[in-house]
Amino acid sequence: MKTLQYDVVAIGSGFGSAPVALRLAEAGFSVLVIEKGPAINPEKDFKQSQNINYLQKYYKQHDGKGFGVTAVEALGGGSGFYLGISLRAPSFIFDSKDYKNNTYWPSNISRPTLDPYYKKAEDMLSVNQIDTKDVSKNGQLFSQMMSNLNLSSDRTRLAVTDCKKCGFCVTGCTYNAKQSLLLNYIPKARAKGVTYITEAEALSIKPLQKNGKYKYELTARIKNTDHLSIQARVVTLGAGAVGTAKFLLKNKDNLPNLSSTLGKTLTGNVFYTAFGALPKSMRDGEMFKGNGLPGTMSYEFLESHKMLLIPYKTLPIQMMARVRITLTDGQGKKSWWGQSHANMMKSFKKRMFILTATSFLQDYAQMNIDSHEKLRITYSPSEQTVQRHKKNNALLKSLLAKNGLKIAESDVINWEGKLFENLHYNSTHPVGSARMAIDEANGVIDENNEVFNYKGLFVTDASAIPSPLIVPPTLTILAMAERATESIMNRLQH
Amino acid sequence: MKAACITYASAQVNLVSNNSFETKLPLRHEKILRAFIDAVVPGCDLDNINHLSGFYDESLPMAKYVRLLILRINRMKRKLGFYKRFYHLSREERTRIIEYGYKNSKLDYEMFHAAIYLSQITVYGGIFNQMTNADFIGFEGSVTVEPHRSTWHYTDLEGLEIPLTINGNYH
Repeated sequence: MKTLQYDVVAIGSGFGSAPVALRLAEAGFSVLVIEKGPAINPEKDFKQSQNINYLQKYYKQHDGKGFGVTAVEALGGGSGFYLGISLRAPSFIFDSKDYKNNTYWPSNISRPTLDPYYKKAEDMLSVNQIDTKDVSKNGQLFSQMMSNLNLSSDRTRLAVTDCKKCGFCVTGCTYNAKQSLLLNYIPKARAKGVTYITEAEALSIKPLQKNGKYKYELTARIKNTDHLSIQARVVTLGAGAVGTAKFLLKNKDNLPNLSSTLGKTLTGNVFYTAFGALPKSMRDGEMFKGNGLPGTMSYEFLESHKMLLIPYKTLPIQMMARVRITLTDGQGKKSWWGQSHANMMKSFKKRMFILTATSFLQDYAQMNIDSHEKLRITYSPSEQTVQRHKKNNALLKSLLAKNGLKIAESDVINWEGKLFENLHYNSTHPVGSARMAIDEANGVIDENNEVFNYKGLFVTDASAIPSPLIVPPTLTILAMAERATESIMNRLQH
Repeated sequence: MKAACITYASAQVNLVSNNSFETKLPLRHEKILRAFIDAVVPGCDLDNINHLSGFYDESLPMAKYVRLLILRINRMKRKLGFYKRFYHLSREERTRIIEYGYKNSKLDYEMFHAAIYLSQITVYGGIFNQMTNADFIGFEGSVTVEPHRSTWHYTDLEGLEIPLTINGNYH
């Protein structure tokens, strides 16, 4: 088996690894990035497509009992497929507590301390507040609804330049308008000599002798056949909230002093959604054309309800595959199929409105590896979560109802099209599975992102972030990774 | 039985001159399926060859059960006292048969539920269409020319926000 040697090996190529690779290469270190998913050339590989084969090439669903995670495996991670919302986490998040009243974050991390790193990330991704003339109809209608009730709304911030309004952000931007990592961090890192190997799955890691130059040895499987051995002075884990924790869980025998909290503190943003039919007094919306996101949002209930309100647009497959919507028709009939449902679907493009909220899950899902080496995720909501779920859903519906919208019933469905029996969350913003904490009794890594008891091993992705953020986490993941590069450099230099 | 509609390859189908599709099914079976889809999504284009794709694509689980589905549809039809062919019945009658089948037994529930879900994904989602458009709901699919501003923006509804922030970031 071939053995490579690098100063730094980064596992994963998404938001958690991008700054690490670039900044360490800029500082003159040799860097290898191994990515489980396929390479992507945006011009050739991205498609405006709902074809399931195409989507399944990149999107991976990790379903568990009570909790599921949607992730992406590809060069650039989720950056190729996210909506591009780029918001800094509010200050109060860094003082927040979980359902057992435990503080999530180390005290030396706060919004002001992260602001310089946020700025770095925003500059790299060309993040800007969307212009008034780029807000789509549904975003405008949302602002109208909120101002009808004397409530605030703001234009959102996006990592998008010169959007062509195709609405296919989540299948990959064919116009290079959405700023995925493939357009900035990764090419710059390549120019500085970073090596990327795709379709390469990291299998194992073990510490080497302490007085050697190289501290860790990894094995990786390339394209399902070849194997590679890699020695590194520093290893950074950026495989995502599921991937990183899963990798560490599978290597517990080689890393016996990992914190017992590994995989036990998976959390994240969850979503509430309300659907309504616009009243005759309101103008048509537009569900498909325009930016992938309507362009406005509201912080009105951020502190009171821990919710960020965002009007939503959806590709048909996104909606049909995950939500069952029913609306009572003029004859009082309601069904999830047949004539009344078809009537509602015909009106979907212009007369249906979707209001979502990202919110704060205060309890935890658990990740385990079973005897067949499969990942298992389990979650039971606390009573507090159940009550918040009811309260927040009711709030969304009332905001629409007060504006005259007729509320449609909506239920989340699984991949067989069936209703979940109990409360089930699916998150595209999972965090915290190998989280940062003040000590190993509370987390896997210290406030410098270094794994407790394992010098030279770092976690720099969403799994490091101890709390949900309410806002989408991508900018915070980047900022935290930018910050972590300083500690990593420090480790390399001493 | 899983309606694992996301775990397959989409197949290309050729339309042949006698208005049947090369589905490897007898023509009358295709007609039954089209009549089924018509009850689930009334008014959809039944000549759209892609709407049947989910039922016969052999990489999808439903392809293994489609003949059983057709058998069960006919069985439910007879149980309700209808003796005409399923595709000669009115939409209301076909709807009654599907509703009945849905509640008849666990097997029928699984089968009919999966078929309904598949019909909806196929028609409303347009997932088998090359341009991934879905005409029924006015979704035009892939975009090669930037749509005119008036289709997605109201000039006279600009600036209605009452902002809480200076630049979109909360303090």
